[in-house]
Amino acid sequence: MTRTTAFSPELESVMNFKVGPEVATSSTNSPVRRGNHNRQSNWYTMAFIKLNYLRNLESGWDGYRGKPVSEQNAYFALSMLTKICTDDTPAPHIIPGSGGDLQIEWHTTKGDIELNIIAPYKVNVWIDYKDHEEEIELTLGWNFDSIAEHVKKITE
Amino acid sequence: MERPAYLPDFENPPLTEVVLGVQFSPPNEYQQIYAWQVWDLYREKYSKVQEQPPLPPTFETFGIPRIMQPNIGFTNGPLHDRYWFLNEREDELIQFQQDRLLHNWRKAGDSSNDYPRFEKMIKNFEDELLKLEEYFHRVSQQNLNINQCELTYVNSIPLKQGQTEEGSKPENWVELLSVNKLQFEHFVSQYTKIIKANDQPVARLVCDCGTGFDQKRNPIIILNFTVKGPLPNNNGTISAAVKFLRDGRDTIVLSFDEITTEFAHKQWGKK
Amino acid sequence: MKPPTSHDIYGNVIEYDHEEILNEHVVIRRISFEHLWNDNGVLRISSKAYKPSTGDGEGVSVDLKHLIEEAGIDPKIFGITSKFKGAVLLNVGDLRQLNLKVGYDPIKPPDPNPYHCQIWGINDKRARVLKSKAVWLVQYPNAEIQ
Repeated sequence: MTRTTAFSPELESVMNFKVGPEVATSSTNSPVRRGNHNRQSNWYTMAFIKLNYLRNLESGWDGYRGKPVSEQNAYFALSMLTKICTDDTPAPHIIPGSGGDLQIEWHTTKGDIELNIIAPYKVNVWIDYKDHEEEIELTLGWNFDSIAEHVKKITE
Repeated sequence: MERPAYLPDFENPPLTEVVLGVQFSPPNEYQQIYAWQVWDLYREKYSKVQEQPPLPPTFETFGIPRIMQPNIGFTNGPLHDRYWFLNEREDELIQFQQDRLLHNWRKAGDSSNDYPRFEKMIKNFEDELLKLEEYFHRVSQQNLNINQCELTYVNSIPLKQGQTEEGSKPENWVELLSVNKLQFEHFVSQYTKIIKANDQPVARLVCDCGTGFDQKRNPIIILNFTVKGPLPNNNGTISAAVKFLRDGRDTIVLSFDEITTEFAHKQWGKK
Repeated sequence: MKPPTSHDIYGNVIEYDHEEILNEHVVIRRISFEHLWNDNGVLRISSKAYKPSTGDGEGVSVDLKHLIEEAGIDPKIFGITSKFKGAVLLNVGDLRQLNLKVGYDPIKPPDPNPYHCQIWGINDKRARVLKSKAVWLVQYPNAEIQ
């Protein structure tokens, strides 16, 4: 969470501090990026644009009772992707579900990965390598260490 | 529940603000127009209200180590304001929006208000959560489904006011600031640490440390700790959140004790 | 067709298997542009198109083909608009073989759909099976079924 403290405006404005975990503020409160790690990756930009679009789907977008992707699911998806993708990872496909949920997927000649975000911290994972018979299926919460390696193998 | 005996304790720590918070799935039938009904739950003690911009959702995930990308907001339709329900003295407040409830204590006015201590704050916060859950149950037959918890301690260490020569040096208060031998004009830092259970990541500690100024332009050290993360096994209950916050308090107090110096501990009356 | 009798506290139909929906019947699933991913110029349907929404007891929405035909409407036209350019067919027998339930769930005005049904019991694995069994009723332009 960004810091939610009820600091008085005077104190907060003179603090040369990160207001939240990600953004540094100067004394004028304009956002300042730190280091070269904050360079926007291409996949991040693409994912953000697509999620923003999916957040604005109209009700009934699927011809039935479809809802736009929920705010929490969209932010969770981005957070998850930052722990899975390197700068070189190609942008994933992002498909909305009817209930505000979504699915993130990659499909290459090496295999397929589908990350079905049911809700924040509840992700059904399916991985199918083209040269393996056995598929991988598991449910993850917040630790995506194991998935990062699979994404790398399938997309490189 | 009593404060654990193993925790370092200080008579007058430099604490200026404490925030307890939870994030939950927005209840189905709730709309912003009902916010006044939520205020009614707490109005007897928190009779003042202010509107603030909403907080975006936040999640702690683990995997490839990297600094999070800037938290850019999605543009979409109606946003739910964040409401501050403040007590008369404005040193305690409840923050509410459709997916968040937080409780802040802060130094206010002439700063003579004492920190009520965590044990009292967590008990009050639990009661506030129960009231909110009862309300949501009436509106939408749903329990609170908490998906993230957060605890923040904000410390402000004066450097010049009433201090000796020794007390005016940042490195004598916080070991991290020993880089002051570089004679910096200003210093800002942050470190994060993954908190593990059974060798698995379960939460994240964030420490912000650096120099700044208070309202009267006196130099200070800012030392903030935040513990945040999901609930184990996606158990989104209030009792699980309370346990998370208690554990978070332990982590913060131990980290605070570890990063500050013996000189500092003496000034703050470490018991 | 006999209407559903059991609803939850929100007015949603509770999952059930309708006795008048037979194994030889066929249901239609509309395919929206949002369900598709671009494979170097060829559009493909994501498995997500066959997965239920996230609420408890919610299913996958479909339309019952023979009800549409009995109403004198061409199923290839029903539900196809500028936004929903494609539709696939699923055999009810295939659904029941996967232990899925198919129940009648007509939608009332203001956007009525008296042919609406739901498929309950789909998990991710079954959704991929459904994907492999679906055939086009109306092929989405530039899209392939798999």
